[in-house]
Amino acid sequence: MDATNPAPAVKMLGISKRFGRVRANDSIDFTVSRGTLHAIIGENGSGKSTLMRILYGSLRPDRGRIEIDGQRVSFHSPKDAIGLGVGMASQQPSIIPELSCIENLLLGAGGPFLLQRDAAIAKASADAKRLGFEFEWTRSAGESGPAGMQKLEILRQLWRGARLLILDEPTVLLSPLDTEALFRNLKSYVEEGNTVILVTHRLRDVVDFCTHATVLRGGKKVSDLIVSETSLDQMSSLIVGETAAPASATVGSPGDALLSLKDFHALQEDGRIAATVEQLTVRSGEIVGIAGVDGNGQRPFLESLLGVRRHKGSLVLAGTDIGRWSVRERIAGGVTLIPEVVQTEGLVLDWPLLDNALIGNQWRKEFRRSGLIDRRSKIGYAGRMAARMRAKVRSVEEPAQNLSGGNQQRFAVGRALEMKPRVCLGLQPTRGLDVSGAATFYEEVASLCGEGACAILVSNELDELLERCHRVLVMFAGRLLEVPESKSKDRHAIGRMMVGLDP
Amino acid sequence: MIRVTLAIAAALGVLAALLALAGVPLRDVAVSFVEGTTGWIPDRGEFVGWQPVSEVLRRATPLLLTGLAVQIALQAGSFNIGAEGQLRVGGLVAAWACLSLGLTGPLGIVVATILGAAAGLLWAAPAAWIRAFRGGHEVISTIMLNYVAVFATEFVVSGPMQERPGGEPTTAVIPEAASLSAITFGGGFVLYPALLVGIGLAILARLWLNRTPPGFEHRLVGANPSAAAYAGVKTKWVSLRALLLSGAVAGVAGALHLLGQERRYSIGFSPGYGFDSLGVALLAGGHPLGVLPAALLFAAIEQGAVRAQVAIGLPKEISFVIQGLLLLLVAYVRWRRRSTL
Ligand SMILES: Nc1ncnc2c1ncn2[C@@H]1O[C@H](COP(=O)(O)OP(=O)(O)O)[C@@H](O)[C@H]1O
Ligand SMILES: [Mg+2]
Repeated sequence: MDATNPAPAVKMLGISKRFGRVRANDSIDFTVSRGTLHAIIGENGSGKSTLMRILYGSLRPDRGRIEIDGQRVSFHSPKDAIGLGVGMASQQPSIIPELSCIENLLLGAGGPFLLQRDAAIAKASADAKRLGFEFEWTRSAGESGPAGMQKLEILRQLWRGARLLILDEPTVLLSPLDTEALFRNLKSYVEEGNTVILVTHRLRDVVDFCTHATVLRGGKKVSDLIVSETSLDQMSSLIVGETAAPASATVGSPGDALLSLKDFHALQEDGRIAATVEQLTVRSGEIVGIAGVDGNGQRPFLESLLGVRRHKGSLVLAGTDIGRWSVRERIAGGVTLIPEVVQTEGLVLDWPLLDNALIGNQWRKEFRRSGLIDRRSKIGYAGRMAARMRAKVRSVEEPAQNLSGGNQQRFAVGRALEMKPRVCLGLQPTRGLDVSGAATFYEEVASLCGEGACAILVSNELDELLERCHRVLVMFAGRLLEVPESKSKDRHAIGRMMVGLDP
Repeated sequence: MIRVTLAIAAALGVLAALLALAGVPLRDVAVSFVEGTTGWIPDRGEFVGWQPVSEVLRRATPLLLTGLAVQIALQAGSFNIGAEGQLRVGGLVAAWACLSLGLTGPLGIVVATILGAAAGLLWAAPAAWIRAFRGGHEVISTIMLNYVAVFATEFVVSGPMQERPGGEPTTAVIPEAASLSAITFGGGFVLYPALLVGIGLAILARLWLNRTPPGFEHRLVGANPSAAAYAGVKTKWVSLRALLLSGAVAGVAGALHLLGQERRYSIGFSPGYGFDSLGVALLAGGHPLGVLPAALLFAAIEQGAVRAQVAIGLPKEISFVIQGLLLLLVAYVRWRRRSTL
């Protein structure tokens, strides 16, 4: 790409792509000027990823033409796209967790660094700095967690010399701090004459950082917007096709103590303490939010409540000490956990949805008929799961990988809700969901709680927690902290606690 | 299914090209394969009897049972390369049960088979335990146990259980009353009861895997161990159980091969069924019942190659080439399907 070329960086004309009966993209025209940060927004399943995969050469369009810098192109694979400086960090990163961070960058990149690790690390650190990231290069990528792998995936595009960078929902896995840093640095990246296409449903990021936005709905392009001339309201109504209904606040007030923890420590494999809760009582009907920067112990805490991780201390559910119960017994007793990354921890992507419906439910009698698992009850259950979260599912026979990323999330979340838990635990349960999906989730949780359940939800979205939970706690450096009554709704004060500035 | 058929067709195409390059008359090869496996002689339009078909079924029997064993482990994400060793100890223990315990009759056959299964299970146990609780890879440990099995059984049949001191390294032949004899029908069709056991076990395995909670957990551990852990599955125990079950089925394969076909344990007891079974299980893909056509195909290829050697002097080792091509192409189409987004 040549910075003086007056042609637009990307021009896609009349792009159509069908999957079976679904028109994922329907004659979409899409233009991006060089040196801009251009957002693509739309609901889960509106065709954003499909359009970007076509631009990146990993999908072939049924119809339409693509021009890069005024040159007509026809990509047969991402390799062709990479050759023209197009890079895409996809929604499901292709990082290999067993390899070290630096090896993941070198992999498939060729170049002179194959044997010179130190030189490679020096260059990689410089590239990472451009994005505001830091890595421990020689540790395995898996150790850096989902967020680390996502950052690595983005960095890999720069490493390969991308001048048009496509980011498909990059912030879904990133913490707010990383997101901030990334966007600030992307601004200077585009000022150097590069171009960024950002697929997102976080409208705040669009307003704060992007110059242009394109709205998709149901596979069609609805509108091209200049961000400075539009508003959050206008964008969200274009996305859903009508003015979004105002979110209803949490209802009901909590009852008796349901879950009580005392001197509770979640442990690591080697027996060291990963998270500590001195005292916590969650009452029936109560939704407790846990705010905090990723990696401060939220995950080990919820995992030890489910029992996939050991703990010390007392854990009492409705008067019974469940500390010694196995995971299976706790699930049967009404504890359920929405995992952090449903694609890798909650679903089997190449299994049909109806088998995915059985995961975690495999011992429930309602699925069996004369002792054997019965197909019809799986079908019924899978349908109800999807309906709960309004996941767009054509047939419960199709594999989970046919759903868009957001619909996979909806489906997995729907399964947890359909289990009718007494204790609903969520690790970033609304990650990857659009505004209406998140709203549906909280309404469903509220209605479970109305029937006597309780919920403990971990999220990076502080506003969402403040709006939807009865109270918000903060997890910092492995400790669960109460927010003083006077500051319980104070965004700023909670933000300071999250980074350890206030006690 | 269509893709696998295409892969098989492509394998045949490549094979034809190779044979043609080597100057082998293709038509004669094809004719001898058809004659050797179906008993139908295309040139004369004549059916010579059921013997070739029976022979294919006989060859398919140990492949079916060991293929099923490997497949069961595969479903839970483990590679049991040790079927060969488990089959051998299963066979030897069944021989010992008949010769030393004097088991006979239907009950004796059942007991000898169960003892064979137990032997296979125990032979897989170290690998299963190392895999589940020590993190050692089962491929390495099961391969090692194969060597141990081959040499340990060889020692037993050249010493403690040898038929005649100083004679051939083999046990005595088990009595007629202890063996699971083949049934001969009119037209020369011979049925080996062990084949029916294999088919029955494959159906049972399918039912267990697809329709029962423990079977579902077994598959879930193979497909996504983290999701399994969150779903309350004790993944380590399931991995352990998977390799033990696999070993037991391979032990059954050995016992039935002994009771039904070999009737004595010699060092040539298995020409490598345990290794061919890896190919059978891979060809079957993720389907427990897929081992049936896969075992038949492998057996037919071997049988056809034997016939081609007799008829036109083509080395029967050509069967390895065909099986290898087949696996490569099937692996390729399966991999392609995964990788396309
Ligand atoms: N490989 C596929 N097979 C079948 N349907 C698909 C496939 N990929 C996407 N779809 C469908 O196409 C539609 C658009 O998906 P996608 O582009 O991923 O949406 P999103 O805007 O959330 O990124 C969805 O209905 C999805 O289910
Ligand atoms: Mg998407």
